[in-house]
Amino acid sequence: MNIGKIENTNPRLKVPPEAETEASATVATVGATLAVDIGSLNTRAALFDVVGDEYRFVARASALTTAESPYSDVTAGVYNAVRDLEAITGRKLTEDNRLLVPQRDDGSGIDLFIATASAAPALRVTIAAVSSDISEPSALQAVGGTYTHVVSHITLDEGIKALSTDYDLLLSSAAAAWLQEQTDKLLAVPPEVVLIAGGIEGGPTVPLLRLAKVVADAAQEQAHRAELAARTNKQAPGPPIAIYAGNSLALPQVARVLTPVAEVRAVPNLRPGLTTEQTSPAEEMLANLYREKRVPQIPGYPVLSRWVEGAIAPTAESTRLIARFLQAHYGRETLIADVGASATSLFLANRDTEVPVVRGEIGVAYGLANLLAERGLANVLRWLPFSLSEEDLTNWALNKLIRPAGLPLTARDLAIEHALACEALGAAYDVMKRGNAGEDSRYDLLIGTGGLLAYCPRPGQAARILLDALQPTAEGLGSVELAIDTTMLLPALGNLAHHNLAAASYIFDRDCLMWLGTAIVVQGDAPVATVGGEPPTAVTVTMERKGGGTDTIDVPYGQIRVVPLRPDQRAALNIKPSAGFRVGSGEPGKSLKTEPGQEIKGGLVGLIVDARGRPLTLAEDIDMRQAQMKRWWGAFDALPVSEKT
Amino acid sequence: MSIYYPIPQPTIATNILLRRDRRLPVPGEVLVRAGARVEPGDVVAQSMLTSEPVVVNIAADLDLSPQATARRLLVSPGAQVERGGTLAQRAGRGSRVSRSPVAGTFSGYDPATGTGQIVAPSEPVSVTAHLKGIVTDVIPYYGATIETPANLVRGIFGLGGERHGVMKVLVTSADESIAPDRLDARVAYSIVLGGSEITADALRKLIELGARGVITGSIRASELSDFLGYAGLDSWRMGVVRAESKGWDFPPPTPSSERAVPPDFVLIITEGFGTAPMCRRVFETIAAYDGQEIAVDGSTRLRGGLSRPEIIIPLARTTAVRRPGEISPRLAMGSQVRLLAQGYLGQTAQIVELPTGPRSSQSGVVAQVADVQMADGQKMRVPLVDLEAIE
Repeated sequence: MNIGKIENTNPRLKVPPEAETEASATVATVGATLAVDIGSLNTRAALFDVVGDEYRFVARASALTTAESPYSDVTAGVYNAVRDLEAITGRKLTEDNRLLVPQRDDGSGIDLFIATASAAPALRVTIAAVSSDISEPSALQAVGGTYTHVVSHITLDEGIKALSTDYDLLLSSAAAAWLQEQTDKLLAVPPEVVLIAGGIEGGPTVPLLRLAKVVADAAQEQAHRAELAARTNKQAPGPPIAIYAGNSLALPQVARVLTPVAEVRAVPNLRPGLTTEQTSPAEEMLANLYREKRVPQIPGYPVLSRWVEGAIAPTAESTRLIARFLQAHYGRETLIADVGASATSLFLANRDTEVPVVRGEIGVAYGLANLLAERGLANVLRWLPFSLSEEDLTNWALNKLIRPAGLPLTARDLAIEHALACEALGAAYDVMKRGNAGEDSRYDLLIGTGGLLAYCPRPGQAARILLDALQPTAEGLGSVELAIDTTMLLPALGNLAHHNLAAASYIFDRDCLMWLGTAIVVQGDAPVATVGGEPPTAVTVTMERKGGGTDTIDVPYGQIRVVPLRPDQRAALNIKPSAGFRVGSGEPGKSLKTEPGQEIKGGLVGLIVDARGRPLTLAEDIDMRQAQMKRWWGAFDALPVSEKT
Repeated sequence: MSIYYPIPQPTIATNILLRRDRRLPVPGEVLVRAGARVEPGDVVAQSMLTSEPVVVNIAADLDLSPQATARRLLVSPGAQVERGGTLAQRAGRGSRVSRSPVAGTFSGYDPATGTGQIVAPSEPVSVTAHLKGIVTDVIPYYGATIETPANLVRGIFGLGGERHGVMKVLVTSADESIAPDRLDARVAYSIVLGGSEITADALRKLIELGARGVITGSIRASELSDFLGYAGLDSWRMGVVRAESKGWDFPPPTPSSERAVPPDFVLIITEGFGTAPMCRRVFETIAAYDGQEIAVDGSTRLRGGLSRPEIIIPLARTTAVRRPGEISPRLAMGSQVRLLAQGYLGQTAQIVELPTGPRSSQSGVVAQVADVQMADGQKMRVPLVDLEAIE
């Protein structure tokens, strides 16, 4: 195998020629653009404008989101961020508490104002699927496209397998008991949306009727409870909207059962055949529902929607567009990882597929309680290079939940936050992996975004979180490039692309990413410690910097090494895996080297040789594991100051 | 980074003129008049919650025509039905049952549509003054506005709704915890003030002795979990609508069937989870009114209508009071601040340096910061978001 396949010869991604031409053309026609992204905790504003003869990013500012009382109006936070932007740039963007539109001859004001938002809580969704092994995974994949929180699952094969005939399935007393049990389950945590899935095209309809009956019964009771609550000026969730994504043959009967009590929106079958899957229509329907039901609930929406050009786009949709764009225009197989206060998302776009996973309930502030409940305390603690009790971690996480805007005061606090971020990303990646039949996803460009990753004090900390949490295998090329969206422009540029694709791609190329470096991933099986405690050498890498300077390093199995390689430098590699170890899709033990002109590029971290194997093997013993973490963190210069000694 | 850090609401506001609208959820009769002096338990307005009839499609439940259904009704107009009680039944193969979704009176069956109606009984509803004060305005048909000079303290989270009672200080300092073995019958009917952490045992003992509530600095997550009867970390999940909450009520409510705590018991935590002492300024503000009647509200919501628990101490004097809007402590040189950072909860300090522009803080995170000096002379660089100005 030839490692020269690594297609990253330029520190900047090349802009397609047509985009370059269009970008130049836009310079004359588009003035200043103000893009805001309203998160659940922070509101960020970015200003783009003509600089010289180019369309460029000018500055970014942020303020706390003001969705909650006493403001209860996000426009206050937008205004604060814009005022901050005015202070940074010295440019006048507002006048009499209003945005100055259009741009004036003296450069003040803006021509275009666009907005993305993730400030609204996730849609509460119940998945009602015929089978837990076929239709449910497809339904889970579909809900991953937008901000959703799966509050319950109902599957027909749960406790009702013994019922064989249609009569049994609908009318027997066992079926009645099952019906009641599932209805109660739905009512215990009432959803806003029920996604009904199951049955291949032309298959039996009774199982879907059965699910519809559960949803109808629960919807009727929810409607009743909502009515009772409304009479006392209280609120209770009304009947859910049912998205029907099952066997189309059953739709007329299902609609007859459901329409008296719930709104039904039909989309093409998620699984038209046993081996075929189409999640896009259901995904699109859920995204529409989020835009329809949730985005307008953002306090201050009526005013904000009048200010902006076009619709206020969900942040996830705009970020997803960037991954898609990188694959389509640059041929880069990309994974974007976004760790937010309320949500954690992954957006994958490679040659074969395009998969979003948005965990609308898991995050590193508002989403912490859900994160701990799903992943458990031990899974978070394993990432720490120091001792912390489960009790202290719980107290820490709940304190962060009740005061989400706080920043880590000490290096220890920062390390805990990073450990939580690892697990949040792990929770999202597990869903992605489940949807890919348990296989790892293929990508060679990994971009981190969101406040936690963007504000990592040291680049090595961000690189470590991405590598530990997602454990890229770098199948194929053998390497993965790491970058961070430190300016947090990804959602803004995704949104700008709707209005001016050329300008968005031009700015993305020049101003968006901070390159961390290139990671070479070595895979193979060996015990972490052999006789005498020394692990075998997994790989020997010789790095020859363009312009001079050669380094040769031996990396033992289970360890990671970082070799400095500046962002403006490139280097040729000669990689010699030891017997039993391989890099990318190369054969075990076979050497690889970069071809001339296809050298790897550097970054703020440099060349990372990750010989820890996949999946990572963490020591069982606490002391040994903490020592292991110290070694790994130390390699990245990511160790909290207090733990360095 | 932002140059603007809003202080949404001061957590300690002394000598303010507090006004609260007390409203019924539905129109009713107002029982007070403007100028009247009210006590916390006085009923300001009352009404009856009448229920709309609940329509049940009995024919659809039985999968029969309306006429055929009429013959299978098991209740007659005027009959009392229980929730889940049988209204009609179709026997034999394919037997079906129609059940009442609510308890109430079966008011009749419509043979044209196949539907029946159940009317749930009316329930009385009232709103009390909650505060000791003066009625300044009457809200016709709904309630009244009560005004009183007061000290207002906000906690960080709590349990229970509105309650009032005599406040009893059970500790001598802000860093002392309430020991269960020192509790006795004297806490009955009172709202007690502790200092640092409180245990589940102490909370249970307080309930057993008839205390109405407790205000304290902190509680360990495990103790609160034990007290609430939580089943592991799953019970802490947020954003899930359950037990009539909107999903962001905190701590997440348990279903009423599993509730281990009386719904009217109030717990207010001022600092957070762990073992932190109560902020000294908060402690002194409340403790100075030992033996006086106070009003508390423990309800907390983190999102979708943020609300924090409140402690209202009505004051006797009627002069030198300020409007709540006049209190806006700022983070400035020399300001007294309360630390909100983990590990430093409950501590106060003074700002000794306020650098302009973002700076690297102790953790390395770059943010707007302040250099503060703690009571023991220790100096620290703290992000502004981890500070709260106090007067």
